[in-house]
Amino acid sequence: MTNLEKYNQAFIENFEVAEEQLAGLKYQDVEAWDSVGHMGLIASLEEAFDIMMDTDDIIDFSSYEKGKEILAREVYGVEF
Amino acid sequence: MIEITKKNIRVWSMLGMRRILGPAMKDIIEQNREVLFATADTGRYYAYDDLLRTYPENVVDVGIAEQNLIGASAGLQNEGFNVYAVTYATFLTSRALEQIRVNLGYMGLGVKLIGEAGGMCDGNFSMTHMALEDISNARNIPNMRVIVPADGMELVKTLLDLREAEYPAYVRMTGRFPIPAIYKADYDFRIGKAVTLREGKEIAILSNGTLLGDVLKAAELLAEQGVECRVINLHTVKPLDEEMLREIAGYKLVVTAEEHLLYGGLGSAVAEFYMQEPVRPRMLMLSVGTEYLRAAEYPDLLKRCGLDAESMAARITEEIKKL
Repeated sequence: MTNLEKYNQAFIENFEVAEEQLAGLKYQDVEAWDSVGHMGLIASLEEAFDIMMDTDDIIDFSSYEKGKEILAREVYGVEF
Repeated sequence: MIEITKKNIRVWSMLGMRRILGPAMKDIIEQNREVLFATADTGRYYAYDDLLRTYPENVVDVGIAEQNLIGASAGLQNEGFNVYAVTYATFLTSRALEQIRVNLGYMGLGVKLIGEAGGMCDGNFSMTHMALEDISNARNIPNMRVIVPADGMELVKTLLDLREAEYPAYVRMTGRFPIPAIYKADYDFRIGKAVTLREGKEIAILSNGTLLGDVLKAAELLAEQGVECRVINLHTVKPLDEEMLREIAGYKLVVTAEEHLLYGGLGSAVAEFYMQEPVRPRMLMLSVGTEYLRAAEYPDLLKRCGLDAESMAARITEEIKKL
């Protein structure tokens, strides 16, 4: 699986959304993406990429796009 | 159904105890429809939207009226429901103490009390929101069990175990978010049975709640100095695990560490036990102390009381020199 596929899969599994819905998806756009769902997403991404996210980054992770930007940072080193 | 998985352990650690409560109670109510979740206008802190939406008839909110919370919960329990009543730990165990005393202690009604913000984690709201005598108050109520879960998983296990309990119980939630995951994998949890988190000999540190994260760091610091302390999660303050306490009675030093005033909490409970035993260790009781604290951020409060890892390690080192 590519990194992008792993990334998308985390959203799809945690929020039960289709891939077509991912572009532009933001926190609380779907019912499942509430504070509890958010932590589920983070845990899935951490497991998928074998990383541990910083609390500030977890809080800043406000959208599908923002998440990619955060994970691409040197500290996490995920290449999309 | 709640599952203990590596993912959930991480999620619970990120959420903190308060926001585990709503989803956990929803799962419990799904399996046990006689369970009620009662609160005093604090439901929104527990991520309970899904619970409220799915099972509105299982949620009772009495408004900011903690004494009424106990009265109503006791009445519902008496009618055959199984009530988990939750609000701020200090308001529950101080303001509503008489109602707890009469309805739960004297009448023996098995309401499960859940206190949020045990200790100093909401200390930025000042001492009015710090629960510093709650363990002492709850412990003195006849029939009351007192449990202080170490982390998210232990909170979930406590809530699950209490489903069948016919006795009243007080569960103290501690920490903000994130909280340390003290346990990295599933383990055998039983109310009343302490858990050794780190092996050691001759010196034991007994603690509970999220403070265990700092206690384990203190133990690491001591290990760097060649002192291997046993760290024990004494999650159940009442009833105490007497078998474990007798096992360490011959140790050179038993340290208790708690986010609670000096008198009446974990340290007092352990000391009271040992005073009636033929073999008793020297004890060091680390606590908030004997004064109320001014408002400050949680990490600052822990430091002020000497309950941060470095301070605890230093204090224990000092005590060891006297042995």
